[in-house]
Amino acid sequence: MMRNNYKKTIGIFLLTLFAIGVFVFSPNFTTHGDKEALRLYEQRNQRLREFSTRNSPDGKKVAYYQNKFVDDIESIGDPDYASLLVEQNGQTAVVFQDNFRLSSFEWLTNDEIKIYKGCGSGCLLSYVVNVNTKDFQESVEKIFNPR
Amino acid sequence: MPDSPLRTLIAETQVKFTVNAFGLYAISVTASCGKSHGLKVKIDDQQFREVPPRKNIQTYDIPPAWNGNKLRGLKQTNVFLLILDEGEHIITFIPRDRVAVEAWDYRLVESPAKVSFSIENQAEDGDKRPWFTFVLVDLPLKSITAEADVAWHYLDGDDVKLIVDNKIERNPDSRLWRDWAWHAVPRQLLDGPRREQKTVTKNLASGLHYIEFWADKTPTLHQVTFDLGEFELKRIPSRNSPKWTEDFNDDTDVIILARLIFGEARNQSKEAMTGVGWVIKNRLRAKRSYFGYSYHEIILKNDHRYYQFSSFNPADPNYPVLIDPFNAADETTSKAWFEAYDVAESITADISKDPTEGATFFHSSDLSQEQFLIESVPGAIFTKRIGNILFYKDPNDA
Repeated sequence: MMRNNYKKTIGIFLLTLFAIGVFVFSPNFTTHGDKEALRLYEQRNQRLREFSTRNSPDGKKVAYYQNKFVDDIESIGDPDYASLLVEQNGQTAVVFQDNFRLSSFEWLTNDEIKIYKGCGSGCLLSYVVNVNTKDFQESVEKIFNPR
Repeated sequence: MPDSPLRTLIAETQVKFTVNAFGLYAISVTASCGKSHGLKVKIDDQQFREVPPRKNIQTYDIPPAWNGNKLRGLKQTNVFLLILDEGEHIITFIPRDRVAVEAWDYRLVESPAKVSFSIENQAEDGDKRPWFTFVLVDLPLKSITAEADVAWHYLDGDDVKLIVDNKIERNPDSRLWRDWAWHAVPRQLLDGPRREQKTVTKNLASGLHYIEFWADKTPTLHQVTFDLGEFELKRIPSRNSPKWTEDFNDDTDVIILARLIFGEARNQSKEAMTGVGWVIKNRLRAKRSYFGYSYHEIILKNDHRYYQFSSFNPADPNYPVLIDPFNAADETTSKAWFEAYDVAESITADISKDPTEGATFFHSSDLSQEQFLIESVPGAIFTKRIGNILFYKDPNDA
């Protein structure tokens, strides 16, 4: 399946700005509890960034995951909960988004990343994403053989 | 260490304390109570009963409690040896009528394989009654070595009795004092007190063990050492402390199943979570090599490249929260962990019913049924949809 011109939402824009440290995406935090929640969210995203960062084969690009802020567990199923960001030429862009089931990823070339997504027991999807155009190709990985 | 002033307790009293590191701890409580009064303690959720268990549960007339009918106002010290996680804990004192808690404290045991207590305590004068009780919680016991001295006082002598799990250690050297491992004899009026070290080998498996020292008159207990044999201090992840030990094999069946449910379905309804958990149980019941034969084998199944359940892939962004559910530190994630644990517990304990009609596969609605049946598991037999999770039976069941 091919999808052209991956839709850029305001959320992506804010998340991108947040990722490059220009702007903190803060959905009307006012009380102390909200500020604490935001602080924890930022901590988690920083840890997630460190955990997931992978360099492109030529070392010129960096990809990592970030999650959007949610305040209820159901929202981790939102299709824009997890974002894969790529830094190149001094700019950061969201190249792929999906729910919390997004799994590991690997650079295939300097322009392509293969992203895996769990979908159940012995069920794994993969997406080969062009980091420049954000076009992607979805496949079902065959990982279970009941014999 | 807590402040431990002499306190008279007449009502249940909880005391919070915090330990800075996971480890084996000795919690010592000294209390006294008169006839018909008593005291029992609870440490976190750990309560104590008779060993071995009988039909009627006893909580006051047992070695780790203080029974006023036996003590008749004298002091008894109980030392609880147990593994505690880092963080806050609660000791609950539950008196029957009125008791005096003379002191209590806790300390980290530095060398868990061989636990030594320097006691240097002379018993108050009194007839045959409990004096020191050591409570080993989930620990093995290879041997006990104790050193005591006894003296003769005109018409009667000091004696010390040792009881392990309700069985008196017989004294093979004396028919007259066969129940008293240490005993004085009249000639000690001239010879003076006799200090003696004794070792009793028990080789008891890990469990709850009570080691009692009873005193008659005024013996002195100098030192007690417990050899725990091959015991290795290893934390076992639990509902309240689920952080992994860096080896999933240390997880209990409930914990590994709870991790699976949490990793795969923490945003789902309780019924869908239960369904995901039952897929594992149904695989276990199927006894098929391609599924695996234990909770661990089924859940951790991988071909060195892909895990059957992607959240167990060490490079998966869900992995950090899977191995340490409180790592996320937000309330909603913690709540989801507790729910996943409770669901897992009800499944492993055979309390919950299978809502999937025997399914051994599931997939989320991220994948179409057609894709699953053609590309993922051809021939799988659809049984039910719960929320956005679809369940299937093994194609080999057709």
